[in-house]
Amino acid sequence: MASKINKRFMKVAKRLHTAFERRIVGAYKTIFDTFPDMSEAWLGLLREKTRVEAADIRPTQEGMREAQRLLRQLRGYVCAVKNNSGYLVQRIDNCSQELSGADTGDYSTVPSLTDCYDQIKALESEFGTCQLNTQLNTITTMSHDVQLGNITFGRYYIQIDLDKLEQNNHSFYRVTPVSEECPTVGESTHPHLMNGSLCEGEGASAIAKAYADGRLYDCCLLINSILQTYGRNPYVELDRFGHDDDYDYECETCGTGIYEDDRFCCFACDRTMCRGCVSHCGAVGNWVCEECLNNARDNDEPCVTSCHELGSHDCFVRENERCPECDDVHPDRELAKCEIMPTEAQLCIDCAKSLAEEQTPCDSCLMHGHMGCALIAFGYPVLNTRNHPACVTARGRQHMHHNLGWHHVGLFHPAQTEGDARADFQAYGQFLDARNRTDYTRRQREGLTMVNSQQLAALVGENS
Amino acid sequence: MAKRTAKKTIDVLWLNNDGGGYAEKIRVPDGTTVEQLRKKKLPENDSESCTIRVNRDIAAASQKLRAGDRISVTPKNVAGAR
Repeated sequence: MASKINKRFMKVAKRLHTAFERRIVGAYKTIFDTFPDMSEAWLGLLREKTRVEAADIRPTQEGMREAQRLLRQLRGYVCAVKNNSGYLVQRIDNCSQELSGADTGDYSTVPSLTDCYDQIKALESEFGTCQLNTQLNTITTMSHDVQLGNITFGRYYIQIDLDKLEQNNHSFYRVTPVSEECPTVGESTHPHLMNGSLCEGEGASAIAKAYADGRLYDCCLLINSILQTYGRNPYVELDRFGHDDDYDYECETCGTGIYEDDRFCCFACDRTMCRGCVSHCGAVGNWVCEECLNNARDNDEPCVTSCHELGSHDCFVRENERCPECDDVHPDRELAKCEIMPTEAQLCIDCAKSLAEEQTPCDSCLMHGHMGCALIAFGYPVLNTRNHPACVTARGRQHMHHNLGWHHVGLFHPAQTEGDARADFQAYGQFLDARNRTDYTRRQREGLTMVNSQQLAALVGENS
Repeated sequence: MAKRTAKKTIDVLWLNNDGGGYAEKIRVPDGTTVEQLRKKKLPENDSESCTIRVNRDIAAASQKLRAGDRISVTPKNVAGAR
């Protein structure tokens, strides 16, 4: 420093130099950040150990299960201590590595006081200002004027937080506009700025390297270059900064400015939207956004949890197939669920009740009366070997039973008689009886069908 | 026989803030100008795309380098993101 020393610059330089020195030690001290977590995990382990020791474990089945449960809990706490310890060891190793590398290489990570002074002087020369705020412990400089396209943003403060620098925190600076007239869209005062945080994009690695090397001046140059450039993937598109309208809200999907009267809220996520980004759901009578609808479609669930109209005519998520009996579309809550043919069009509850009362099988299924049949819930008899007629007439057509279910007589071989069908049925019944001898479910079914057995007997008598 | 004189060289610090931002000490012939060094180190970049500073001062292309000079290259356009 041959020329006359500027006292103001020297004051700032000294503070900066101190911050860089403390940064080396700061990295060493931050390893203790993990100690609270370690303490908590260890105390938890000790408490659990006490509980396990005090537990009254009996040599019974229940006692053994309780012992297993306690051991699993104890293991959880031991693992937590182990994980925290492993992390601490890693932090210590990293810190040791940083400290051993701090004084090697061509450029020290602790710039000398002279170098700090030169950097402060260069910042003042480049940007016209470099101020120290002793209360906030910050150094503030300014970018050059920023103009992107035909939009003038003006200058930006670049505020270096020395406390964060000492902690080696990579979010060590904030960028804020100088002028209150700076174009703003929501929280963004620049296409690549959001709440004072600059997205560095292509400059990230260069800034990180300059920061690590203690080259604050180079960091500020790069920040300035980023502000001067409109990148491909901004927070906010540049042309949105050109509007002068004073909107009340901003659409949270497309960012369009919205006045109060044009504001819509998605009923599912409660976000503010413009008219173009919502659809009116006739089922719930409310507005829903595209994102919530897409999520609902992907998961096949109602877009609003309170909706019971999934699959109705008005539903945006999907429309159910028509009931094969009444040919109407019904929401999910009005459908009888058939487990035998779950992928086919489902009967509505009213039609299922009707068929069950008439003891008429539904056309599309030949397994009616088997477990899983939707009609059973409405009184249709559960059919098993005890009450299963070999032949039944339904809707004016005769059906014979095959071991795979009911079939229209026309589907059988012309030579096959009713007697053949009965023999087939009996053989199948004997097979089922042998298999289900200890079947609790079978006993349940038999209990259910006791009530209907008289009706079925009448039916069988009618068809024999 | 004429005596050969060794070409004099100087050591300078080259700092490229583009991309990784590496710094390296390099040896260049005495009398090398800023533009000559730029062409040698950044042949694919034109002079308009970056700002070259010597000892943190903007340098002229014809400025001759001296021993111990710190030459930094900062791109004028660095695309941010979101």
